[in-house]
Amino acid sequence: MQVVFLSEGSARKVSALSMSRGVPIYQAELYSELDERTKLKIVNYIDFLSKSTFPVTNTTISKKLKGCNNLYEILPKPVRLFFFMLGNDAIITHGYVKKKNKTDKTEIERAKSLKARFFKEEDDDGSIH
Amino acid sequence: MARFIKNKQIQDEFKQALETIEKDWSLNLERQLLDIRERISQQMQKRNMTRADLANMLNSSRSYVTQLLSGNENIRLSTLFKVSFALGLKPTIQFKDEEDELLQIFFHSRIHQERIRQLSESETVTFQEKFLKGGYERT
Repeated sequence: MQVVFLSEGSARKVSALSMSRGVPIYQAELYSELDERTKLKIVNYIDFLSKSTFPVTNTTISKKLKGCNNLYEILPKPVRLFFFMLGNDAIITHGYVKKKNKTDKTEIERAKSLKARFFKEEDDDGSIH
Repeated sequence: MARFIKNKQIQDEFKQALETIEKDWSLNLERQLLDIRERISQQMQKRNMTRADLANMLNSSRSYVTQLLSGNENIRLSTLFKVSFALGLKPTIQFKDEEDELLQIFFHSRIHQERIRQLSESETVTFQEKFLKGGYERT
């Protein structure tokens, strides 16, 4: 698993998990079904995340997932992106196009497992975070 | 193992997207609204106010406040000021004149060019020597 750098703002770096060839998972999986405008909206939200104080207080922009440790979502409608924090930096796991108001459980599970995989590989690597 | 990498193409695409946003008024508005929405929300938290509390102060409904926080693009300036004042915030709107900014860059480069020209005119001191001695700053 790779972590590909996206942007650095005044508050933090934002990166994304990627599987192969350094393309973020969320881009590889979502971009074909999104129009240009929505893609730019995602960029706006990521730019905001890189510059805002953390945690974000406005739950219509971003919120912590209930019952999950260190897992958050950011909401550039109609997309939901999941991310976790590594120190002060944010790492996006993946995203999906939202169809219901409630966050899809299988997507949360996927975010959890991607995050777990990241930290497991980090541990195997012997690095400290 | 998890590897931290940089992908030039992905990074360039991201930068390019930011530039596109910078040039488009409605995308720019969306970005600025994110800051405004977060600022309002932060102030509510600071003052321990719920959405219902703010709605009461504004003589409006809770759903109106929710709508405000979730970013109605057509928020009126009067609404923005009304809400801000209710929260003890005074908004200021700044205009950035792009033309002025361009002129400034041009002006700076002109000064710069002039300095370099003057420096190259003096035959005894090379630009580098002068720069290292700090003479560049003074001339």
